[in-house]
Amino acid sequence: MPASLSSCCNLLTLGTTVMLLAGCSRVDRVEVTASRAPFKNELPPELGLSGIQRYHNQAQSLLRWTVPDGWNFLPATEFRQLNFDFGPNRDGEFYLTMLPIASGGGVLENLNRWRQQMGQPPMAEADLAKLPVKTIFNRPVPSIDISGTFTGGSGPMMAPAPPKPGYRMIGAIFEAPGYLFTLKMTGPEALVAAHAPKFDAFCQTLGVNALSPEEK
Amino acid sequence: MSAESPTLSPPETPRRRAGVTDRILSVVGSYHIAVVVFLFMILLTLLGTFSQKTLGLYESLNIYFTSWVVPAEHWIFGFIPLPGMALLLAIMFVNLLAGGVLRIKKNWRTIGNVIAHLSMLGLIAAGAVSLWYKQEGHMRIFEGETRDKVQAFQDWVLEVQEAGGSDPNVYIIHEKDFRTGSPAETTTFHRTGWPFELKVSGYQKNATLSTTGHPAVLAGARHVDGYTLLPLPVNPQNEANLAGMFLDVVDLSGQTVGQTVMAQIVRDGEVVDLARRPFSFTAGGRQFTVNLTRETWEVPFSLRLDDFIATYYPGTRKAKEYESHVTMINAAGQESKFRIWMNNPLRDSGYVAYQTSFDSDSPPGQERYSVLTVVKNPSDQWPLYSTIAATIGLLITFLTKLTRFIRRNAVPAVPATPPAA
Repeated sequence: MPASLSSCCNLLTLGTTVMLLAGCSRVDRVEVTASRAPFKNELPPELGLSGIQRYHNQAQSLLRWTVPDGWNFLPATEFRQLNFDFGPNRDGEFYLTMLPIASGGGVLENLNRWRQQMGQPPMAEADLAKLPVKTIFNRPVPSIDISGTFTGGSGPMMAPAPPKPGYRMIGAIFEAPGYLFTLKMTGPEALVAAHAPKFDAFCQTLGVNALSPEEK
Repeated sequence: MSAESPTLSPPETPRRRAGVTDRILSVVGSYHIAVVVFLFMILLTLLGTFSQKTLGLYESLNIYFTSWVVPAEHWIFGFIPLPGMALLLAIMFVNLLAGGVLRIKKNWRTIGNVIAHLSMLGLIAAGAVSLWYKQEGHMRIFEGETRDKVQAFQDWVLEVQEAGGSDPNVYIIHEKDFRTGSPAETTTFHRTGWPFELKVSGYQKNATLSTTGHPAVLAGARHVDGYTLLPLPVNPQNEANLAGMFLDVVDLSGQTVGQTVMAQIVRDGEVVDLARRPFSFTAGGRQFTVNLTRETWEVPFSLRLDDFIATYYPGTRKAKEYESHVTMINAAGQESKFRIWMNNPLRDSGYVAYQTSFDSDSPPGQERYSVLTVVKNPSDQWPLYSTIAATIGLLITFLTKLTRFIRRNAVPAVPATPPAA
C-alpha cells in the first residue's frame, strides 16, 4: 500500500472516531454569550404580566365555536375573550371569559357575584351540587338561571350600570387546571328566553384547541 | 485539484526539515484524500437532496450542508457516521492548498493551474465566511412606513434582558442551543452575573398555545399559568414553524422563581408580535424579562416604502412583475431614492436588499406591503471574483496546452530545393 494511501486510511479512521464522538454528543448546559444593544427607541418591556395578560387579546385563536344565528360577534376585550350581543336593540349579551384562577376567583365566588348582580342572596358551597348542569368541553358544568333586576356593569373596573328590571341571566362556570371559564348571557327576559337554546347550542360547539397557521 | 505529477517539485535535497514538510504536504495534498472527499460530497449531495422532500430545504441544509458532522439520527443505517459538508470543504481547502498551491511547481506553464486552484480556495473561503458571518432576514414595509429592522426568516431566539439594571444589553439564546431531539430533554442556560439559570424543556419545533381546557391538559399534560403547549406537525418549510417550550427559572439556591410556556400565537395567518409582553420574573432582587421571537437586528439605515407596484398576468392573480420604490435614509439623515425589483437589489453600506415578496392577499392595485430580503454578507462578491479568476486561470492553462500541442504537432517546413532529377 502506498505511504500516502496508508496515511489516508489512518486519517479516515481518526476522522470516523471524531465524528462518532461529535455526532453523539449533546450539550445540555450552555453559557450565554451573544447579546445585542437595545434598539433605537426600543420601549422597555412590560413587567409582571400573567399568561392571560400576555396573551389575552389572542385568546380567541385558542377556541373553536360556532356563532348562533342572530348573534353579533364583537371584538374581544381584556376580560371577554368571546363577546356577542343579540336582539333587535342588541341589548342581549353573551360572553366567555378565561381567567387564571389566582385572579379570577373561584366558582362559588363568581356565582355569588352573579347572584348579587341579580339581587339574589349568596348561596352556600353545599348548594353547588344542587345546581343544574350544562355540558361544556364534554364535562358537566354548574349553571344558574336567574330572573330579576340586573345591576351588573359591563365589566370589572367599570362604573356600575343603572339597574335593569325584567332581566334574566343564564351563566355557567367551571375550572380547568389553573384556569376559570365563565359563560354568561344577560338581557331582557323575553329576549333571553328566545335565545336560551342558543346558549346550549353554543356550548355544544365550543372547543378548546390548537390552531395551526394552516387552519387559519 | 491536487498537484499533477509532472509539475511536482523535484526530489528534495536531503534536508530533514524540508523532507518532513514535503511528506506532510504529500499526505494532506494527496489525490486519495481528494477522491474520498469527492465521494463523500456526492453522497451528501444525494442524501441532502432526497431528504428535502421530508425535512424541507432548511433542515436539509443544516443537517448535511452546513454541519461539521451529520447528527447521529441521520447516520447511514443509524450507526455509520457521516461528515458534514463544512468538514469536507475544510478538508478540501487544506488539500487544495497543499497539493494545488504549495506543492505545485510554479512557473509560467503552471500559473493558470495555480490561479484556478486559488480561485477554488476563494470559493470555499466565501462559503465559510457566508456560513459564519452572513445575516439574512426580511423587512416587511407597508406603503408610507419606514423601517430600520430586519427579522430573521428562520431562527427563533430567546431574548433575556434585565429591567432597570446596570446592563442594558439584551442577551440572545439561539434556537440551535435550545433545540433538543426530544421534548423530555432539558437545556440549562447560565451567564456570569445572572442570579438565575434558565431551564428550557419540552421544546417543540412547531407548536402552539392552548388553554387548560384542552383534552391534553385534562389528560395530564404540563400546563403553566393557564396555558399549555400543543405540538403541531413540523412544516418542511421551516419558516412556517413556530417554536415552543416550557421555561423554568431557578435561582442560585436552586429554588424555582418562575415558569412559563413560551410559544407564538397565530392570528389571521400572521404571528402576533408579543415582544412587548414578555415573561418576567424576579431573581436575586432583580427583575428580568424573557421573550421568544425571531432574531431581529437593526441596519444602519432606514427604508421608507414610497410606492409598491405589481403587475399580473392577464386574468390571473399570478404576479408578473413587482417593484418597490423606496427612500433610503442614512444615519446622517440624507435621503436617496431607489427602485428595487427582481434581480435588481439595492446595495448600500455592505447590505443588499432584494425584492422577494409582497402582500398578495389584497386585490390587485391595493397591495398593502412589500417584503424585502436584506442580506449582509462580507463575502457577497467573492464568488464572482473567484469565478472570474477561475475563468482566467483555466483559459491560461488551456491556451498553454493548446500552444504546446500546436508546436509539438507542427508540420516541418518543406525544403525549397527541387527534387533531384
